[in-house]
Amino acid sequence: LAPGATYPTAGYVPGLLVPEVGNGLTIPDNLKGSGTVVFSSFGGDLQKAQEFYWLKPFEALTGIKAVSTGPVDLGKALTMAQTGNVEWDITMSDPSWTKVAAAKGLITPLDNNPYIDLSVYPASYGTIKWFLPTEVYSQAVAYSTVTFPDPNSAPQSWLDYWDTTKFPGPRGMLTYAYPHLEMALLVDGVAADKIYPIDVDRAFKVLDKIKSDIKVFWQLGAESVQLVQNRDVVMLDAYDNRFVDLIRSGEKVGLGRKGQVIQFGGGCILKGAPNMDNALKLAAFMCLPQVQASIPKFIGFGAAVPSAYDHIKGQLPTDVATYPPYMEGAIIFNDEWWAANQDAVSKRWEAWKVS
Amino acid sequence: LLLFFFVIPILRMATISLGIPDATSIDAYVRFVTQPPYVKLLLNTLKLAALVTVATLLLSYPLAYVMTTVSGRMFGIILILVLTPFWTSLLARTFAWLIILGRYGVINQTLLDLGIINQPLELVHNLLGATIGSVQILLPYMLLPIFASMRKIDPALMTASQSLGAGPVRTFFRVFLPLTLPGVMAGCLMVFIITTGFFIVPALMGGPTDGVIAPFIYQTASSLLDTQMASAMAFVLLIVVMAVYLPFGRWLRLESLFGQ
Repeated sequence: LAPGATYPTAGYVPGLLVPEVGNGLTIPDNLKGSGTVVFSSFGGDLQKAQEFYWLKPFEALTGIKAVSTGPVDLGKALTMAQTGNVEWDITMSDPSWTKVAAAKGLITPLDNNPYIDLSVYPASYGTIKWFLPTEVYSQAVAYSTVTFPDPNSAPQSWLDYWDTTKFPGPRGMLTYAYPHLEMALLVDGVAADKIYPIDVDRAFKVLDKIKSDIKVFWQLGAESVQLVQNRDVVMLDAYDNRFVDLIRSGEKVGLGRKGQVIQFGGGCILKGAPNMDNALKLAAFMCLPQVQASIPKFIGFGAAVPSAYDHIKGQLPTDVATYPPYMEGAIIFNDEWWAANQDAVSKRWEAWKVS
Repeated sequence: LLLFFFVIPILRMATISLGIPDATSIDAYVRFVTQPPYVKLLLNTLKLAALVTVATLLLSYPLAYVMTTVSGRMFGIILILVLTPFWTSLLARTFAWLIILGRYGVINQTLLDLGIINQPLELVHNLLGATIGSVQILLPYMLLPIFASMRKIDPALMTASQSLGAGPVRTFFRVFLPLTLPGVMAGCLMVFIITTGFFIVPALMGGPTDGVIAPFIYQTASSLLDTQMASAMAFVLLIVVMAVYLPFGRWLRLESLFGQ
């Protein structure tokens, strides 16, 4: 890491003092080594930040050359693992996909190695074996502050999303099934920690009530931003990190976080990764609390390792999903339930959408 | 070469859809027919393809005729106008449409400001939006074959028809239109077939109930990891498209032989 180098984040939080990784950061000796490791991610600002906060200091501290590539296509990742022709050591993925792929025997377990300290993850995350959580984001209600200039009378929660009398107008909804069943049950009065296992029939009955007000099923992050900014919809269920970034740069959008659905971003190691030892070392590095401390500077994410916040000096970030007041009453997305039910629910979801 | 890069992968897809080598069954096809949402997604796809085909034809036919009559310079301008969107990034073009057609987009805002309408018109996120977005990119596929067939027509034939007593309407339907049919058929087939594989435009510009099959094939393969079902869906789509293509394709070839 070049001395004095700074990552040009559009959404840098003023006053948030993250220890500069690679500058006074120490790592366990056993992570040092030689050779290369290939890291594949989804591209864009996220990957640029990952290169700066993970790969550069990893290279400097371990002597292992880190190559950044991508973009990850999970279909391609699946084919790689199935044919044994794996090009990526660390593959950014999503938890449900990783669970399903692991069931097919295509993922390397993260336990049983001398490098990764999985005890940094709280027990509430469940057993960590296949998917390495590295950042936290949520799905929350996004709206335009042109429509709702006063945050107190703006949509706060999924109840407001479903309330077409108080907040009339077209809605946008993410095109995939998850995590809308969770939102529906919350609206129907189920407590956030009692959502799973999901009563699918009940959830779809609640979804039916809002169906005719959904004008767009959105798919791309950029699309969700445009729909809100152009007021094509009055609100939609956005991935919060994009909107945190927009709010940090002064755009006229807002987030209602009550009942937000907490989800994890992260990655996995495909079976047959060419530099297996170095892949495990990079994975271990990525979940070190002092490395995780830089995550809130990533585009609007919270850190997946709670003890990361002990390493942040000065003011803690108050605009990311993991900010304690936002976590009250939040739903923690259960990828195990989804891995087991995704197939059936997705088909029913697609049929529901076009009905 | 065609065998290696085209036929073999398709045969492989067919075997995967039947569950070979683990087990041989038509289970995936049974599910396609009996369980939602597959048939509905297929019908949506065909509906969009038909709409887009008709709309591009109605736009292209007069435009192609104009192109046969104008000067070389004007011809060049029309061609550039038609082809420019073709060379623009698909996403950029689609987002541009959203800005123009949106609820508070350029068109609606103008009409609202002028007091012509009180409520924004729903121009996008419905079948109309998906058709507009698709037509724009597919116009050249229709326009160029029709133009080619029109240019081959000997103008003396029109004069001959009129001198034999046929009026302009009759001349058009009895002489001009039949001579352009090979171009029309070729254009229609290309536009129809390409639209069935459309992915981004219907997703971004279509309505909530207008979902088409291509994105769900992708989702089934890459996210649900059900390659058997995804292959079956792709194969059904291929068969349906072939069923549309084959009768017309044969007729088209005979017709063009006859023309020569």
